[in-house]
Amino acid sequence: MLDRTDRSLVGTWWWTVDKWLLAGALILMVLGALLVMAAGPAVANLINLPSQHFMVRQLLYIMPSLAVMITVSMLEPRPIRALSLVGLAGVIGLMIMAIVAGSEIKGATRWITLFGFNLQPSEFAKPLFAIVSAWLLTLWREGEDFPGWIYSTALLAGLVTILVLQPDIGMTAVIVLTWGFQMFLAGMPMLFVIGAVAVAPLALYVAYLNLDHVTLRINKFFEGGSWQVERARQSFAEGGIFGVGPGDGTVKLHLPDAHSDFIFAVAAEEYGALACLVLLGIYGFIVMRGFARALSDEGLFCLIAASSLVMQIGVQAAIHMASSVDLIPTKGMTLPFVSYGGSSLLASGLTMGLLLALTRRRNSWSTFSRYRTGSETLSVDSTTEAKGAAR
Amino acid sequence: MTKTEITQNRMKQSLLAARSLVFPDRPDPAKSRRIAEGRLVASCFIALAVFITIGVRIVTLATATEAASVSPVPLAGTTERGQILDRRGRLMATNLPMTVLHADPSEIMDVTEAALQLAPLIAHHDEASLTRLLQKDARYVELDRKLTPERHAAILGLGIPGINFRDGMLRAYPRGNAAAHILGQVDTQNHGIAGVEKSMEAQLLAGNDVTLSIDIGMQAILAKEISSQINDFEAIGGAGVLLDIRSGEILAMVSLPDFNPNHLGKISADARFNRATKGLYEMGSTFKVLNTAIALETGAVRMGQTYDVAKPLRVARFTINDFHVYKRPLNISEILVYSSNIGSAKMAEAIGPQTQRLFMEKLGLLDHLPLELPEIGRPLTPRQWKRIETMTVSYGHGISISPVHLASAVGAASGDGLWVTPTLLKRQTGDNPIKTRVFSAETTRNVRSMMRLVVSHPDGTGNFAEAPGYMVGGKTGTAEKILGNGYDKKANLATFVATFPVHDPRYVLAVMVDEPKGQKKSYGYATGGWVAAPAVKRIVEQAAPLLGILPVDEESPEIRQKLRVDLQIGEEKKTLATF
Repeated sequence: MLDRTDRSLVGTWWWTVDKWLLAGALILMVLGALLVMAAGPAVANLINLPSQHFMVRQLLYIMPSLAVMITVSMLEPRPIRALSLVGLAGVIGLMIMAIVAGSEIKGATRWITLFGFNLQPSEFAKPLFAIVSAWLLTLWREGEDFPGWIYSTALLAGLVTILVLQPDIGMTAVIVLTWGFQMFLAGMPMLFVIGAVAVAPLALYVAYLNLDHVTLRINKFFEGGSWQVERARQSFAEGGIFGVGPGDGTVKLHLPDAHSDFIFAVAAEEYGALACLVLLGIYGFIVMRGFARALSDEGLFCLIAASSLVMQIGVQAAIHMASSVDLIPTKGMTLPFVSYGGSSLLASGLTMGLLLALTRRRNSWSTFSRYRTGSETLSVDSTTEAKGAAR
Repeated sequence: MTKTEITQNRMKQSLLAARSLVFPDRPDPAKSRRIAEGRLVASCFIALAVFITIGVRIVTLATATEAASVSPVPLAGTTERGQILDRRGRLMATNLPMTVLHADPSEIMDVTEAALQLAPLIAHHDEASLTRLLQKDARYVELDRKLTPERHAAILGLGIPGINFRDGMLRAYPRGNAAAHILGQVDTQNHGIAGVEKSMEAQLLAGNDVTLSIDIGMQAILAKEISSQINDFEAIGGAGVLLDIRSGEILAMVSLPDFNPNHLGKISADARFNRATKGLYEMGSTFKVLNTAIALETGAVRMGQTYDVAKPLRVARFTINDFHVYKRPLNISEILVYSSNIGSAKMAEAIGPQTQRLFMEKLGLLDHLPLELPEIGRPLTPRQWKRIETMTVSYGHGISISPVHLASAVGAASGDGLWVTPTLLKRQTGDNPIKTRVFSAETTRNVRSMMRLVVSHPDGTGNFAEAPGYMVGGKTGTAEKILGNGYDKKANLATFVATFPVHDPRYVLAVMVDEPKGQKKSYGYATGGWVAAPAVKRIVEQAAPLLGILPVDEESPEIRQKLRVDLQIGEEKKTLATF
């Protein structure tokens, strides 16, 4: 189809893009469409919409999501950083707009209407923040006197303020985790790492004390008997290993947001534990493959940026699945690529596009890094150290 | 360098060291890279651990089938409510698939038109009530719970938007009124609200069938005969219990008036009331059976001992009278056969309050029975149990119990001396009923023989209960009911408690008729002997063959061997053997 010597944009892309990651994303999109077909009609009937409502829209959203993913993945790291910076500024503007003039859905103002579609700008803030923050941190590590971590922390503080105002605790958690992970990779002193791990439960406790719905969810988790979780557990029991068959599930009729926050439970009932393990396996594969590709890249920026994007997908998937199997308190979190929702799908496409772009095989990329790394430098390093020791 | 300088220097160095611990010097890029790589690899392992944990959890949940039963809210329609069967496996309560007709008023475009079209097809609604329902500000209104297939088709044909159908289950009781009080009822959501439907809710909800100890055939016989007596004597109600005293199984239990459990609502509180288990009554002279048994068992009284019953017994401000006055002393058999209150009271005095109370407790008469029904009554017992209470209890006053209590207590006194916990569930092979010994075999043999004489002796009060060949023994009871502040002479409770066949005791039958009125054919009497005894005779005649009891010749040596034939009744030495 494409010749190896094809030097066109598409040709270069095809031969350098990581096809395993690409395949993973495409499979997830297809599975997502199948699952929304199963869960959608029940939810639609519940809230009095035409039964095909969610299915048709999901199929409609897949197209732009796919387009965003492919387009973004063709970009080179340099323009990606520039575009992310501009994009993040725009998204932050939209998020402020959402708070000021947004529509309130289920008690939160995180949505704005754009061209007749409800958009959740914070979904896009996640990957863009990852790129910009990684850039700032890399500059700190590789630049002479650039306090990148201060800028990154300030940016985080701004975003968190906006997100807490909405309020969107789930998104806040993901963004704080992204930042923490990047700081960790960028060589934050171990003392701080240990401190942060110690402080995390404290932060959760503060949220537990001060936010009513967090109190409620966590209490429910420890007391048991939460309605949604009981239904979710029931769907696993009903589904067994092979599921009751597509469309034959009954638990979804009793689950609110079966098409988004509890789509994993629908998968469990209708397609069985085997299908759930396949889904879990695909996410696990994407995470491992993504980390491996990030490791093999030579530049520090690509390593930090790519792995934090991978982490975002992994954390979101893990929280969604762990909520469904009652391992952690319920947290409304969409399953990337699978759950219903235009913003979620588009953002997943953007995240994956960025990840694909940053993990492309490139020969010239090392020159992008101001400092060459590799065995040569390392050996020099070690000899210096040896000398130091001898001295 | 002075000492102070050295100290200052050292302090500076240690401060710097501390600072570098918190704000380390920026490592060179290559080292940054190595740190990042190392930490990313560590993250890989953490991620792998998280995903494996979730995977293990998925498999655990999916393979744990009992997780479904953990759910506190059973999903409607997932399991069908269990059926209720009689002891021979005949259906008493089952489920019928039905179509439920409901509407979403927000989707109805023309309410008037819809009501007009639907009205002739819906059983319990007319145009006006339908219009009201369809205008409700709700998303769900139920129009008909029992839609027939024909009407279902007709309404489908109308094609009114917003009118929907749903598969429903209708709880049906194919035997109608039979055993209504035992079965109870379910509400519109198919949850038990009375009877076994309520007490066995958990088992039925889980889809398990319940097999009762009840025999539908026996049930029908009791209902027919007792209700015929209620009609003949213009009574307000009645009850009957047929108990297998060996297993404690209740074979039949009726309370009249009854109701049809298939029709929810429109049932009077009186019909709903279970006289057999929840109704508490002073049982009157039937208690003399227990009194005689206790007196013999404790040794307070010997067989053949006599009591002077010529004069009314005055105790404090009460006077105890007899129906007939007997100038001569009566032996204890005669006291039972003639039903002498004075004699019974004197026997009770010999027993003593503590002992009597202890036996009443052993016979289950002081507490509610552990029956499988929500509707069970706790006996009303004397607050203080002194001499006077002991005397009144001996002839069945001052203590109120349910007919089932009476049957199980008499079962112990006239059977093999064991009190068996009564049950409404069929005993399965292997489960042993709880039995407590109250009386010796010798005591019950004496009591049985006396009970036989109540029926067979010409002077006995229970002659009308004689069912030839089936060896019925028993005791009549006629108690004045307490209405308002005192006893009402006109409001009687006519009872008869029978044990049969007396030579091989197996069944106890208690029949009670509530407030019978004296009739011309009964010479104005409304006593246990006139009202309840004939029902017992007819019930035994029909039930005994079904229970596998063969008629016997009372004069045959084998039968006589099993009974005491030397009991003396009357001045001429009439004994059991003389007729």
